[in-house]
Amino acid sequence: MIWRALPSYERGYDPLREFDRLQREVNRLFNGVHSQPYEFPEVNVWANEDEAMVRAEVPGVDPADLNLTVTGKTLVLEGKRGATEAGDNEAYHRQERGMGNFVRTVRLPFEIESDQIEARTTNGVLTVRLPRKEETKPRKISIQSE
Amino acid sequence: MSKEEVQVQKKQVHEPDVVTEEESRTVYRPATDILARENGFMVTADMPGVDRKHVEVNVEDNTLTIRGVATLDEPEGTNLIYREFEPGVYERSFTLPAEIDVESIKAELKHGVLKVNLPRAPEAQPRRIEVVSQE
Repeated sequence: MIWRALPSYERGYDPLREFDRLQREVNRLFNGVHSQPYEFPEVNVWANEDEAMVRAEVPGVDPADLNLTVTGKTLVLEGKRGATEAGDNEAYHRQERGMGNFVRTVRLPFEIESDQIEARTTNGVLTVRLPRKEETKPRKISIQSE
Repeated sequence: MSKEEVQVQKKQVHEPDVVTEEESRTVYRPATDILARENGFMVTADMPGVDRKHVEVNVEDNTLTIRGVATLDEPEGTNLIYREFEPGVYERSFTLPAEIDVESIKAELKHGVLKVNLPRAPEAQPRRIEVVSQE
């Protein structure tokens, strides 16, 4: 009955949907303020039929402080970024770079041949090549016809 | 007044223009720490994927500008599953206090982190004044 009372051009307007939208907007605003914007390190993942490749931005991390482990379809990247504590007579005017330990889990699309993994860091970017486990590769099946 | 080129790692950046050729990429403000010390400042900025040939540290008037271009080829012949970062250009400017000794600014780049050391001019350093007793 209320609906019919609205002028015709407003009938498409659903006040409940508006509330929904408002709620979502407010949620988004709050989420941006409280939480960490992203996990460290940020990763990009590529894959084709034969291998997966993971790239992570890890500036300031000594390769000796990086640990990579692969279990099944999961790659775990952990390490630490050296903390430079301010000494006596020193003070941080600005501190934006995170420091300390980090752990990041990356899910891969297939199982990996663990002993063939290659990892390398260049200018603070880690690139990991993960060849696919041979048994899980798609097999081409030839079709016999009479 | 001409732009003053600051040496990076004791090697002159010969072609400053190589940093500007990638204008179509996203420009990021690198996360930076600024540490104030007794003898000056240390500016540390994250620039992953940037190598020495693609970084530039300039001082003009009282402004320090750091800029770096990340150069890592995206892999080919493979599909992107998901992406969280995109290599781009890092750029940020800072206003320096007057007491910085511009001639002695030193910069180094390691593991994708640019560290710029900005020493205070010697006259501006706190000097201990000896108190002599008259007796």
